[in-house]
Amino acid sequence: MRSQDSPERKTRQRGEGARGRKIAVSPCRRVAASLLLLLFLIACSNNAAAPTLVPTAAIAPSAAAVQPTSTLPITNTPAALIPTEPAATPAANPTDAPAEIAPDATASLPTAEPTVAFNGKNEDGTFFRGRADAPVTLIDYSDFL
Amino acid sequence: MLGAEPEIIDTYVNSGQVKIIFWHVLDHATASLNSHAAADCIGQQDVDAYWLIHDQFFADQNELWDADREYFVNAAATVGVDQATFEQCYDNGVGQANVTHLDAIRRQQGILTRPTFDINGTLLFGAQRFAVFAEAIEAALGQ
Repeated sequence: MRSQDSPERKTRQRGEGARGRKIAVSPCRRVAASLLLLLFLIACSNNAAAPTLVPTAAIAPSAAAVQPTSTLPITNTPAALIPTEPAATPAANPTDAPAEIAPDATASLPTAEPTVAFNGKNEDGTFFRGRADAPVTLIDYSDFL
Repeated sequence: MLGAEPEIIDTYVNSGQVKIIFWHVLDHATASLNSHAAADCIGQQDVDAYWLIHDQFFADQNELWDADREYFVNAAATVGVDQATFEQCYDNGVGQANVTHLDAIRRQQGILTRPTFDINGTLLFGAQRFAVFAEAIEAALGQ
């Protein structure tokens, strides 16, 4: 008859670990448990970098709210203000050298207005003083003497 | 004209609102003819010099009564025109012919009062204060 203390009996008895008796664990299961523990630790370390949100006190609406100064009715503004198409900018080709803008001395200068004669001679032989295209003509019929 | 002319120039001419035409009126025989001819000959070379001599002749009008050819030759030199060219114009009567022609036109138009001012068709007779010119000019500008 075989005794309970036989070395052949190596199976674990349920509930026996709670009574102080050693629980025999196979090496394979020990390795598996170690791996699981390791994986758990790795997962926990990845979540440690994420910022933790500290709940703040809710901001209750102030009783003295700022009243709108405009008396215009509030209307739903269309969402068309956001341009749907991207800006028409040429795609930068990294292989192209940056375009050099040749300096043009006259590019930024305003167009010169045509010169209007100031003091001149009329076809009838008289002489005028002032702008040729002045809206008012003052003829002075005078003698030097 | 002088008188109100400097103020008219400052107020309206320089701003491009008014241009002044001086129409030769020969009411004093040879003295008028020679002075106006000299001004015309100067203007043939330089229109700016014309208005310089115009202002100078009005300022020194008492000297024009007895002014001779040399006076006008010297006057032309003071305003910077070529002396030889002026003398040729003055001596050949070119200036005299031009101003005589203009004087005849104004007589034909019935301009007999001196001075007479035509401001875009509005006539003013005799010397006027600046305010009178201004009123007529402003009326013309407002049209």
